[in-house]
Amino acid sequence: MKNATIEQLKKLKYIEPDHGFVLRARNEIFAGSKPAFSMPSRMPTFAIPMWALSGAALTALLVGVSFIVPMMFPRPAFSASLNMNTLATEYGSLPINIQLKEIKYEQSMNQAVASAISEVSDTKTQHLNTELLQTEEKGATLTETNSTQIDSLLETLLQ
Amino acid sequence: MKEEELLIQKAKQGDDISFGKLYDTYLPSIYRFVFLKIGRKEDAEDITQKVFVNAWQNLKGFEFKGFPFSSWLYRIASNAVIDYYRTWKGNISIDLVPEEYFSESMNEEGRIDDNFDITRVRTAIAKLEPDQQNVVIMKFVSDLSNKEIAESLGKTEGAIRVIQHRALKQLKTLIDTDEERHNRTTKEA
Repeated sequence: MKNATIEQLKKLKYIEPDHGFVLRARNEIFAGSKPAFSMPSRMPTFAIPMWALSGAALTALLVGVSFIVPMMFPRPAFSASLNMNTLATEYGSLPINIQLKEIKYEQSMNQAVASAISEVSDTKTQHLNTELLQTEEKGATLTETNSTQIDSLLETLLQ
Repeated sequence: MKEEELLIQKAKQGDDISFGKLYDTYLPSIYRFVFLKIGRKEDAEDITQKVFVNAWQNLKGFEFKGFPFSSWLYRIASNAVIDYYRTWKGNISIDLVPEEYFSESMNEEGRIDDNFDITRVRTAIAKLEPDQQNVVIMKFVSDLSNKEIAESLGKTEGAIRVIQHRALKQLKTLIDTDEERHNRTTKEA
């Protein structure tokens, strides 16, 4: 009698989904968003956290090495650059000193030029004063000169 | 099983053709399971579609442990049915199975007789406990092994055997009672 019940149950296998529904549902499922891609099949699931851990360990190792190695093996080039004598020598040869000298020279030159210009532009300056020139003429030893051209020029100037 | 495993691996990498083959293989049995649990065509179609959408979206979480892919699908389906009844507030009504629902291998006379038997069996199944319904449908309609049913429902094989025994006993009583009532009504008429 139990078998009869089972036979009746097995008749339920004949129930089939509507063909239109099968196609419609299929289209709607694949028209929706795709699932996120998983890792390649060759990589087992337990390997994923191992990958992450090994990546973190490698990063930590690189950072550690970049700090520890310079401390263990200091480079001479760095220490030489900290020597005070060398620094003073280097400072002395800096182009800024050269520039300061040039500035000083230019300042003195400017002063000389300015005074020369002021003297030339000043009509009351002493070198054009007639009395002064006559006094100087008297005191001058004209006999010593051999140039007649200079003498004539001086006479012209005094007139 | 090897071929199915390969399809699953490809589908997990986003290959919709491979998932399409799994869909074609398992859609009828999943639909049948949901339809027998729900009893309403439109709702059964809706839930079945949701089961496959859910499976497609969460395929990366599936791990092949030697059980057929269907065990995982049945687990999603039984959870979907639980969710359906949690929110559903209508009356339980069992639709008559339309003729086009039967496979084409059946003749017309067989369809009429079987439709009567099927409605009677479905009415009896609807009166069983949810776990008993699951086991009866998976065992005798979907032809799953006790191991596969245990995997799908998260129970031991021993528990499945006990549920199956009680379900068949209960089902027989329900069908016999219904048959007696039917015979009495026919005689009186």
